Amino acid sequence: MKSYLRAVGAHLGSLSRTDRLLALEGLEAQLGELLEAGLDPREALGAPEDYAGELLDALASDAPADEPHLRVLGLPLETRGPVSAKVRSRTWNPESPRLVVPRLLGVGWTLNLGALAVRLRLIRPDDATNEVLDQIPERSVRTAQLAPLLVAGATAGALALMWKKMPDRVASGFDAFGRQNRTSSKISMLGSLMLGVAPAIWALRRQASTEDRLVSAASATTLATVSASAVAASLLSARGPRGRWGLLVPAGALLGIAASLGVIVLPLRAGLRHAWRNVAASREHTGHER
Amino acid sequence: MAARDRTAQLRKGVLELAILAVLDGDEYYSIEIIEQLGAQPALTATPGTVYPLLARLDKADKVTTRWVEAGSGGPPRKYYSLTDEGRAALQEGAAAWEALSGAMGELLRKGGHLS
Repeated sequence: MKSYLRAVGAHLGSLSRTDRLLALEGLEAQLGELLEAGLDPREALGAPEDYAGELLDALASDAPADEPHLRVLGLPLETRGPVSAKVRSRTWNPESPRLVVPRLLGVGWTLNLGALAVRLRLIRPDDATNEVLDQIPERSVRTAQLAPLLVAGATAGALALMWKKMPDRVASGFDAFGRQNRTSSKISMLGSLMLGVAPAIWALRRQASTEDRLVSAASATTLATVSASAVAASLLSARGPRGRWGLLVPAGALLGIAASLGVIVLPLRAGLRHAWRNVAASREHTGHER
Repeated sequence: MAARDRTAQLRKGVLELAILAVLDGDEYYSIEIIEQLGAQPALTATPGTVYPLLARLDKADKVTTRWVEAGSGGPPRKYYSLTDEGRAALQEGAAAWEALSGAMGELLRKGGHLS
C-alpha cells in the first residue's frame, strides 16, 4: 500500500503542495478501504502512473490558464507560475493568437512565445501537439535544459574572473540612454547572477512533461540572458563609467527572447521531423504492400 | 464494443453529477458510492475513475469529509457528504441535465433513433 502511495506521489510533482496533500490523503484512506474489502490496489486503480494521470486531470484548475490568479487595479497578478505547469504553459501556447499574457510570477505581462513563433512562421499553430512532443528526442530536450545553465555558468565565470579587480561600488541602475545613474556594493551583483542561476538549475529537472521541461528551459534562458546582460553592464561600467552600457540590458532581453525561442522551437522541429519521417515511412510501407 | 466506448465517453461527463446525486441526503464512504453507481449499469465506474472525481469535488468544496472508525476494527473510513455548494451544484447540474436530455431526446426522436 505504501509503495503504491509513493509511486502515485512521484507522478504528482506538477500539483501544488495543497492539492498533492489532498490527493494523497484521500488516496491513503481509499487504499485502506480497498484492502479492507480484499481488493488489490493495482487491479482496482490501475498502474500508479495512470491513476496519477486521472488525479492530475481531475485536480486541474477549471480556470483557463490564460487568466491571471488575481487582478490589482486592473493589472494581472499571478502567484502560481512556480508551482503550476498549466500556468507556465501560457508562455508557450501556439494555438492562441495572444502575444501578451499575464506573467507567471508578480504583476504585469509577458510574451506568449508560441504566438511569437507562429507569427515568425517558425511553426504552425497546430504543430505542438502531444504526438509531436512525444517524438522529440530526449537528447534535444536535455540540450535545451542545459542552455540556460551554460549562459548562467559563463556569467558566473566572468564575474569570478573580474571580482578582485572590481571597485567596491558598481553601477546598479541606468537611465533611458544607458548611462549609469545608481551604484551599489559589488555584492549586489551576486543578486543579478542568481536571477539566472536559480531558474537554470530548476530547469534541469527531469520529472515533468516534455512540454513543461522545454517551457521551463525557455523561461530560464530568458532570465539567464537578462542576468548576463545586467552583470556585463555593471562589469563594463566599472571599466568605462562614461559608456552607455545600460543599453545592454534591453538588448539582453531581446537576445533572451530570441534564445528562448530557439530553446523551444529547435527541439519541437526535431520532433516534427521525426513525425513527418514516420508518416512518410508508413506511406512507403503501405505503397509496397499494395 | 464501440457502443460501450460511446457510453464511457458520455458517462465521464455526467459521473460527477451522478456522485453528487448519490450523496444527496446521506453520507457514504467511497466503496459505498461505487456500489450505488454500480446499481445503474450505465454508470458503473471503477475506483480509479471515482476516487479522482471525489478528490476534485473535495477540492472544489462541493463535498466535505469526516473520518469514521470502522466497526470491523479496520482502518478508519472517510465519509463524504454534500456541502451547500455541492447541493447548489447538484441543483444546477440536474436542471442542465434535464434541458440537455430533453433537447437530445427531441433531436434523436426526430431522426428516428429513439421511439
